[in-house]
Amino acid sequence: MTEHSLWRFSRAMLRAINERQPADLEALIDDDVEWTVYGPVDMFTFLGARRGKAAVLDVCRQIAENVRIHRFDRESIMLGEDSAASMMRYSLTALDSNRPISLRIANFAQFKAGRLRSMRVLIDTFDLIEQALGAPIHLPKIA
Amino acid sequence: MESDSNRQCVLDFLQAFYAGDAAAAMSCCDNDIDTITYAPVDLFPHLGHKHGRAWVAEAIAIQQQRYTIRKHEVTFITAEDDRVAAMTRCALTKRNDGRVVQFVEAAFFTLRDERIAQHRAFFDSFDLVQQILGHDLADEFAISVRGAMER
Repeated sequence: MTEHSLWRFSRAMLRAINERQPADLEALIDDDVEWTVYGPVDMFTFLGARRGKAAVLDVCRQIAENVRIHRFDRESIMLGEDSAASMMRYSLTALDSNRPISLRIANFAQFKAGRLRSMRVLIDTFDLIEQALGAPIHLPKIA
Repeated sequence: MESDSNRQCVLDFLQAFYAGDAAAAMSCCDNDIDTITYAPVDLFPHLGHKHGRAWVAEAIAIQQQRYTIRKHEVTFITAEDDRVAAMTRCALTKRNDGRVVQFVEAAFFTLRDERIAQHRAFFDSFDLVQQILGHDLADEFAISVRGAMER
């Protein structure tokens, strides 16, 4: 049974971020890949949309320069023929501040011939920003 | 196939939810549905952790009080066995000022006997908070966040 593209991609992504070794990842990304991580780009420049392999590798390099992954738990994973969706819980450290960050992330991936063709990532960004600030953001109550 | 019927159940649920058909949406859910939408509950009291399918009607009613038009488009859906994941683009027109708030939601469903028994969802919540409040918070917090990350 052939291994699903998601597993190869996940291992390569982890290596690119934690070991700063992007060669495996480069081989698994389509030249014309579409990539979007929804979130505030003013605060985290590695969020936002990218197009093309070079841009995606560059943003992965930026992520590697900012965080280290300590642990991840797969809360839910669904594998389609050329697609995958996952909800993951990550424990990270912000490298500059050594601040721990715990994130829940949804990934929606599409592959073509074993290479990543599209990636959409959603994060509970309000929670992320409160953790980065180290303090709660006070909001008005709406009944 | 089980995954095909579960996929259709989730599509039917989303269609009924955004059409405001509470009875149809509830009929897609198990009586004991467990749901968590990760979002600040001060602004979104119908989200957070809820139990029981009465939540569905309450969530629809709250959204209908706040928004005159609620549209959705499923942009990605995949199913495997008893689980379904969907990415949905939503556009809600605010009742008080007519502005449209837009967001993309990730939702993960677990089904039991072809009904939704567990629902987990989240979205770019900071962006949606800004849209609901009607002003940009990014400038206010950007310097603090960058500073905190570098401390």
